[in-house]
Amino acid sequence: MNRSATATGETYSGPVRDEGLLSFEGVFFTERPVGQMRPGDHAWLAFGGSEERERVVGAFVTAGLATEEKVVYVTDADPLNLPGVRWPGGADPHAYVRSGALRVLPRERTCLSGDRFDPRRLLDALGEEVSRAFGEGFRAVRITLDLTWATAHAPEEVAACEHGLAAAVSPSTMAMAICQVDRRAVAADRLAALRGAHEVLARPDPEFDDGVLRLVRTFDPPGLRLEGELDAARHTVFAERLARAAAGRRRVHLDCGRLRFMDPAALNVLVRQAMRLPRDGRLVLDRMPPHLARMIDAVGWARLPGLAPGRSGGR
Amino acid sequence: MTEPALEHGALVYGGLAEYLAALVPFLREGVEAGDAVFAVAPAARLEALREALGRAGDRITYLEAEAFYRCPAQTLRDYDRLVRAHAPRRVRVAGERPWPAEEPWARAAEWTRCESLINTVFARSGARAMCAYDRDAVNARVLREARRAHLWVIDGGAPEDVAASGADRRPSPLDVDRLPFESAFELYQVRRFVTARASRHGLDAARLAALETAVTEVATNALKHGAAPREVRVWSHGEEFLCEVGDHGRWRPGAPTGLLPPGSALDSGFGLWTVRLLVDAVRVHADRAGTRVRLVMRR
Repeated sequence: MNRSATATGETYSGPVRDEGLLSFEGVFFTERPVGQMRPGDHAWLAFGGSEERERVVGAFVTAGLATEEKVVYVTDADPLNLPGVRWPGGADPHAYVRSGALRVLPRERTCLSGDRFDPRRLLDALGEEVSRAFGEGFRAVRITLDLTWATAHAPEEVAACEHGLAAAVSPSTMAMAICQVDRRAVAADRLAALRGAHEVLARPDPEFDDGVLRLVRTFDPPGLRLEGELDAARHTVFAERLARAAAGRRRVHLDCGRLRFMDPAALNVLVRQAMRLPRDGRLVLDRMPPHLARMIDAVGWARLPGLAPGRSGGR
Repeated sequence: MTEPALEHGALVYGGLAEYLAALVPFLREGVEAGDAVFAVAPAARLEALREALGRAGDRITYLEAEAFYRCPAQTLRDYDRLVRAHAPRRVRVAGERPWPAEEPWARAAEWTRCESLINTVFARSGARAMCAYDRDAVNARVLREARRAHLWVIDGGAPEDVAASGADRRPSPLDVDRLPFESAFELYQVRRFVTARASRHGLDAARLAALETAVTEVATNALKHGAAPREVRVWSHGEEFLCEVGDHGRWRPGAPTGLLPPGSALDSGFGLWTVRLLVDAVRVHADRAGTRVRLVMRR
């Protein structure tokens, strides 16, 4: 495939680019697919539903155990029912617990003093897990916990805890962490303040990525983010991933902000999917780049039944 | 959504083999699609068609041209009857009027005008019509008129017969940059190849993006419907940047030309129609050597 490019003396680095930094109100974050997290990442996940949580937390936990890293989950749940984790068939969570690879720490023994959230105690407990891990032969430790409950009744303590965690994890060559919050249960200003204590935003792994096109599931609003270039070589995989993202939904959003190219035949794929949505369903195109907006302007929305323009500009 | 448009094309052929090569697939496609299919031709041609079509030919109505093409008003009335009688089924007609060599121009002109009237009368019928012209029997003036009256022309002749106007003459090979491609996974390279050169020609960002979209669509069509070898060629001519996708397949008779606005993105022909909206000009050439779709973009 590179033959022709070489023959014409051209090089091209590929259309899918990692934007690197993302800014919220002047604070910069790195967005990272969970599969690319590494020691030193102190990451934030404000999930809006069980599916989103599963795709990040579940992948974080099971991938860690599969590569013989240590996983520490602060929760009162049983290892079989860890929040956000759907165990693959044949997995034996209790075996991981016995081997020490999976540490499920109940809150009472980790971060409570009486019934109050105690950040000091949590940081000590996690610090001990990390320092023991090296001697136990693990090359990395993955930490995760859900702070929704603590944020509700002790926001200052949670903020202090996050700064302590950032100070412990960021310079570490062993530890990485995902701090989870259910964004439906926490006020927006508190969410923003807590998010600000993290450098990394944990994201689901892409549905598809071949260097030319990347498809990423989105959850707020639900749909797909398209990055790179969409042409006939990828219509089939796109149609299939789109159908999956649309299953059971009425409105499906496509974030086109990073879509560098889309061919006219892809509009056919979109209309076909829109027609399979429930009655009055819509496929909404958000953040259309100028090339796409001009093409649709030329053919007219009337020829694209079931498609609708969404929001424009930045996020 | 709009009503389906008429697709009215012409075939210019030399010899029976060329005639059958275009008409048999056109008629057979109609039978397979469930159209009401008619063949109107001189008796000898009808016999050859019937033989070549085999079983599929049983579902075609054959009409003798000598009786059908007696006077334009009657012929238009009869076509109108066919369309109405079979609605909502689509009507598909392969027609050929015999053009007597000794016929005065005034009389022939009535029939060339009839071809234009068909475009008006049946504009919203959704019918598919192909009018055959025997290159060896029909005079040059009639052929010239036929090229004007039809949405598309298939000309089985040599390429030099097709590239009629000066603007469509082929460039000298030295001025042309070319890139072969054979798979959808190379469309990406096709875009890089074309935009790099169009950018040097001085097209602005919006027109570069439009050309990139257009060439991808045309190259995709060449992959879907054409035959190897395929290549994209680019060159400059004054203000114009030209980009041509060539393949060695024959233009499918009745394939949409993209001149008529489609009802929706689901209609065949939507892609080529979009291409025509995005670039300054599109020229389609089809002959025995293959199909060439040329895109023109002015600086």
